[in-house]
Amino acid sequence: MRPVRHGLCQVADKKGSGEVRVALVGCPNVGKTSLFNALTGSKQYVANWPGVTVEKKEGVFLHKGFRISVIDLPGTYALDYNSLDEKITRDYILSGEPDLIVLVGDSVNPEQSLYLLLEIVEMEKKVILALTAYDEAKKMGIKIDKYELQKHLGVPVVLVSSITGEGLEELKDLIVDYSARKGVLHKVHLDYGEAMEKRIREVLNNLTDLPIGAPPRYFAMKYLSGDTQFYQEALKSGLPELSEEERIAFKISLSKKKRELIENVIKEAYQSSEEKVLSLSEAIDHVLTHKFLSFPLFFAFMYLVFKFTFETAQVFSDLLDLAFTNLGNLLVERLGENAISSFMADGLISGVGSVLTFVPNIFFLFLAMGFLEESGYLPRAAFVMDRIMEKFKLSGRSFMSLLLGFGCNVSSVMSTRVIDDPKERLVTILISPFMSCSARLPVYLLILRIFFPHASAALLFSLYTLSILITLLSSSFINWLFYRGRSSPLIIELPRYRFPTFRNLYLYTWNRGKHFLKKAGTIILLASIAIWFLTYFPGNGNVEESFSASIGKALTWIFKPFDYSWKITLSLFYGAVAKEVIVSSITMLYNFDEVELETARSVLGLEMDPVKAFTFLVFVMAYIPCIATVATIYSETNSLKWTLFSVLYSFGIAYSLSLLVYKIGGLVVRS
Amino acid sequence: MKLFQVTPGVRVKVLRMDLPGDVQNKLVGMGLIPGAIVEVVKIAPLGDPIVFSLNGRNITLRKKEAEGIEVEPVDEVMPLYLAMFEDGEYEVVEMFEGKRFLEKVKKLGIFSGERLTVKNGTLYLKGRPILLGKGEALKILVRGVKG
Repeated sequence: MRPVRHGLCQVADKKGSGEVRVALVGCPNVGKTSLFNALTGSKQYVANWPGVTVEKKEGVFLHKGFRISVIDLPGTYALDYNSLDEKITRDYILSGEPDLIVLVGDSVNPEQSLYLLLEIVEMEKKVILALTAYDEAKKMGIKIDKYELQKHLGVPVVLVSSITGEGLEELKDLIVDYSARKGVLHKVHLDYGEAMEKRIREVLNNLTDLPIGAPPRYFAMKYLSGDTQFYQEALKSGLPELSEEERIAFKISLSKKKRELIENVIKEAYQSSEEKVLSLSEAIDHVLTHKFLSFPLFFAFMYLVFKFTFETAQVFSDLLDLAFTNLGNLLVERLGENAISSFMADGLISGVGSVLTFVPNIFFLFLAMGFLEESGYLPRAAFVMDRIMEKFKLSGRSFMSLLLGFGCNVSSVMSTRVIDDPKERLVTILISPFMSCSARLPVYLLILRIFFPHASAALLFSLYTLSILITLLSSSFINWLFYRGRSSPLIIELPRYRFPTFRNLYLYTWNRGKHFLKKAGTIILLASIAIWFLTYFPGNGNVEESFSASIGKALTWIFKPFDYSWKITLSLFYGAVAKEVIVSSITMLYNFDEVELETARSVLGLEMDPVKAFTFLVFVMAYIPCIATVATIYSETNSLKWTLFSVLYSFGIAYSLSLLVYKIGGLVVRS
Repeated sequence: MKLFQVTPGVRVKVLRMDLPGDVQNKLVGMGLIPGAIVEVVKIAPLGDPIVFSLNGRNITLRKKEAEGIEVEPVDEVMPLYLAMFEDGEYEVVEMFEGKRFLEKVKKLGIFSGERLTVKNGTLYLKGRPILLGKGEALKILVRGVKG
């Protein structure tokens, strides 16, 4: 074991300044995002990849006078162009934009990570191997000789732990040093044996002009193994067609050779204690996916999530609520009753404030979801629930996306990108708006507290159950309508359990929750101002003579069967912008504060009875997705037709379902 | 035998894969190729999907897909249940607990060291056919006898 020196240290000592672009590549669940968080801290921002709405996470850190920007690429097992994530990752690596690639691998089970590494080595890119979760490996008694890995793989290797921080400085040094170096550490040439090498040479000899964007040898191998992208390109440039058997056989042989090499490398570089003990992860798994315990536990967890979100967070919500109400009252006191004080108090503070009071709920919900996702429980839940999902032509994978919908439909629509099967992905996109997102919660809570002060929890639960039922049945229906095919397979990895770190949870919650704050500051602020204007003028505060009244009255025919007043109709109309707006428009139109439940009860009670109120909630639960979701559906499906379908379908479902509830409720209660 | 027939705890080697192109591509990318050694770790509470381990990683797969993967046992010793998929001669190595069960096999004449023959999926002991349930066949460990 002769240590191989990088021979780069002199560069690091020089005081330099410059920019380095680093791309993080790795398999799903290896702790890529943890490393990203550990490197960049909170200096990260999320945008979209051009043309698609796959999240592009970027972060920056400074090291030795260099400004290093890090891009967290989507997690992939291979770079075969099979899924959107694989496409994005491969295109970005081949684009030449990153100066350096950091392959984030798993210290404990490195095979797949090394496979991915070899793919990138064959793309002739500069890459560093960062084996993460090194603390776990050490705990398991695994010894890793990084110089041995370095020798065989031809890339610098660093062992890191995002949790203890071990190796992070070394990685940062290495990023700066290695990016400044010309060429790679040493070139590794993978020999695939005479027969295959001959085929590759033949192809290379037949290449008339060099392929764009990929090294020739890599291109030739991808052509021979029938790669989705390069095979077509090769045909266009005049290479002959290959039979499918030939392509598959070549692909498997390539993979086999790589795996053999990896096996040997691991044999050389890895030492582990032989005795196999039941690991903690396996023990937890035994319980959580147990034949009889798994379902009760799943529902218990869901219940805890809800309790945490709605009860624990309520204390903070109430405080905020109090603050906003007092602020509004104070303003009116100081300024007197006029257009300006009304604008400030009823328009801005009441409108935005009524939504902001739900921010604690939303942040707590994301915190809980973050815990489930980061700990590794979510894929287990998908595994346990898959059989049920399959009945509705979905899979455990779409289950994970749908579950996120309880937080926000936008995030659930976006998360469908992990679903490989385009049909299943589309169906999941179309049904996910039925998952009752946290924005609908304020409406439920407001109405339930007014009309059902003693049964709000049970009715809230029934609304959520209803939302899940409609989501699932819609999947069956849409599949029946358009596809009638088989459901897509469930191939997911169950990662080791990890206790989520504070930093990861905080970033998870903040990165998602801040959208709501942004929404409150933009869409909802604008909507509140617009609604205030429409409601204040031209009657100077007299709602009955306002523009809103005219709009509302013009729309009441839509809800004729429900007998909704124009105010309720109008709140639903405004609520199409964002569901939270329903709350602010109701409080504005009826002119009450959220805390004044008695006033609210007396005003709303004139127009609504409990049945009507609950019907209203059923409608709110199901009717058209908010503007942000519609926009996301459009950008994800890239189809006006499906976007329109989603809007019309959900409206139709909401309408017929609430009518049903109204009629049945009427029969039961009023008789 | 097919991967979906394999019971938890048994290591098998992948022989052939016959799956739709996209599924095969994905599995090959994850390292499931002919020659790979996998172990079925667990079956979901509702009977489907299964989890198999490959190079220390746990991956889920529905039985529908596992039907397209032809495998053979790696270890000499395997449950009798799996041995029934392959014609041949087997020697009983060990039998697991269960008072009732042990009484039953004793009555049938199955003891450790006894030779069993599998032919066309039927089990024979000294030339006479024997019927065993799946649960029972899982409790008997056998070793293949060459010849």
